[in-house]
Amino acid sequence: MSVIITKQLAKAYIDGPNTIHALQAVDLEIAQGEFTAIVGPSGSGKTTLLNIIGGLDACTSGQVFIDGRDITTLKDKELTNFRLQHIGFVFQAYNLIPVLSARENVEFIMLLQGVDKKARRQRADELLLAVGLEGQLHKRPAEMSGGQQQRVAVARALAAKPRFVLADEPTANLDSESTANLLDIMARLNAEEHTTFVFSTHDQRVIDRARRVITLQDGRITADVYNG
Amino acid sequence: MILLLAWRNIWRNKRRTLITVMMVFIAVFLSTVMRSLQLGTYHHMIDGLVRYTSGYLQVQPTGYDDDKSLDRAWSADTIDLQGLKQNRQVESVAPRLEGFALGSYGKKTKPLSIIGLDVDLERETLELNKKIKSGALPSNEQRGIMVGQKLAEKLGLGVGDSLVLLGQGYQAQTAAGLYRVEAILLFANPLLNENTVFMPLQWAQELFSTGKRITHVVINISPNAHLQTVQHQLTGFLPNVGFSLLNWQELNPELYQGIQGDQSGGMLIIFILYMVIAFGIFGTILMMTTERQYEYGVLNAIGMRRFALANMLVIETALLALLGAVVSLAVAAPVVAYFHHYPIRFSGQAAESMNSMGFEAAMYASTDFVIGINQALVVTLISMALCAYPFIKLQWLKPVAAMKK
Ligand SMILES: Nc1ncnc2c1ncn2[C@@H]1O[C@H](COP(=O)(O)OP(=O)(O)OP(=O)(O)O)[C@@H](O)[C@H]1O
Ligand SMILES: [Mg+2]
Repeated sequence: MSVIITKQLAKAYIDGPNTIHALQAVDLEIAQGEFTAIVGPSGSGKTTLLNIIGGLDACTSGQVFIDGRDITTLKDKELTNFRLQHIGFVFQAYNLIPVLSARENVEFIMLLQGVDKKARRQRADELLLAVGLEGQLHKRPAEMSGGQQQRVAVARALAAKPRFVLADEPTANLDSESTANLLDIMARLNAEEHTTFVFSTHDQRVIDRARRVITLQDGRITADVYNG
Repeated sequence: MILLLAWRNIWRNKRRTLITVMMVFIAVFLSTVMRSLQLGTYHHMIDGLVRYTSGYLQVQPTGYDDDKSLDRAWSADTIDLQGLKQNRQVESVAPRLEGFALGSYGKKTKPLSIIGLDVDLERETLELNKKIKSGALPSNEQRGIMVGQKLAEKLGLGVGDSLVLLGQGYQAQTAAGLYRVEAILLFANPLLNENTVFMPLQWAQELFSTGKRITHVVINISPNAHLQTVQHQLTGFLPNVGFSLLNWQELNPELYQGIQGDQSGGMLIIFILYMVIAFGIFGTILMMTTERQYEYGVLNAIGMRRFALANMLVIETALLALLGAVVSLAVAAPVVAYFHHYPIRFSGQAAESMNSMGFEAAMYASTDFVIGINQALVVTLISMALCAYPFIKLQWLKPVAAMKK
């Protein structure tokens, strides 16, 4: 069964006399273990789509099923808890709590989930090792490079054992080396742990790494391609 | 970890935190010192007057308080003095005879309050030995008097001199006599120091021709005891009719109301002080929340509930307030202790005017720790209450909007 299904998803913004159709009739299915890029020109609706799938924003019409459950019907409090338990997030930048170390940032989400201290610590260290930051456990975000910060964010997203990870332009602020590095890590986690990744990007090098590329234009899916 | 996070969060802006802590410090410190001085001074004032005059509690024939006539004098056998003494808070149960007379020495005459008391019985609770400036306390059998130092000075009396007392006694009999000054006592309270003569009970009874009768029984209790509670407990020992057990607030309403009035003035100052710092703290809280909208957005997005976010803000604010409060208590403690040991004494005109109103011209500090704790608590609670606005606002946080820069 698909992890994510959207049905006739639409999002409209009323802007004075104009209505902006950020998303229109988006039908989408994403299966367990996919490594999918959402691409499209600026303003095409990538962020809007990811936000609605992630339960951060409400749609105007349509439905979003996560593991068969329609999240558009969830109440606000349930939705927050749903995000905590089932969805991992990596944002473009400033993902981390500045006053917490790398390890504490990863532990924090497990604290919210009520994982006990010992298990938290162990999983945080494992994940930071997996993203190649075993030497940076005690560093605060300001003491790390942008690439390292994004790797911590990936570790944090995975710490919650989510059904999938949403990443809105995770490499937008990174140089090409860090970008390649982050993609390597995400691809490896995808291959080894079957973690489902959905990410948006403008970057051709990132698009090339995706196994499925969904193109949006003016809020509609105009192409959906599997790269072998 | 939430506490640790809150703690680190408040130090993100060191300067702002230090300023806020400083404001809390000033408020708690000033209010604690002010309140300690105020309460300490009242305490001292009450204890220095009430013990000698009305007593903390007093048994009297009903109506005596409105008409202090010697004709209402009664026999002390009527009530169970021993029973009253059983209460653990009671320090002394002492029969007294109070009357009025003119006192003359040489060419000078003054209207005086005459208090007849059991010197042996009340020596301890009144700390009479400590009050002696010159002479020695008369025994109960000795037909002598004790006068305040100021009275002695005004009339030109010394130990060994004899004071003429002239007044009206029991059932309109003439009260007159010549009494040798045995001791000159120094009282802080101007009323006692200038207008009162103490003498052994039996000689007062002789002066006023009351026989064995007394006018009232003074019950002094521990100053720290709860007045009304003890009053209530002791009422049971009195005969059902004819007698009243009154407390000093009822017996000396002027003093009580004076203190209440004075107190409200001090409270107003503290209130204004609190208002001023409340604004400062509110500003800090607002800055703390507005500058962290993005972060709140991220935290809510990854699954931290808004309520938890708002709670963290409350914890941060409470930490700020507690930090200031703890520092101020640490600094206030030695200051209060200092003023406790070295009371502030006024001189010159201020002193004169205070004396003329019947108050001692000095301020004492109470070392009651509860005063400081109360101030600290109030400031902390105010700070936490100030979180209400951002707390409510945070409940409307939309992660997408918050993260839009
Ligand atoms: N809060 C909003 N109010 C009004 N219009 C909005 C709002 N958010 C997004 N839009 C509009 O919706 C459309 C889709 O925006 P979206 O941010 O999803 O595009 P995007 O593909 O992520 O673009 P980019 O590549 O620049 O990040 C755009 O036309 C945008 O102007
Ligand atoms: Mg976008």
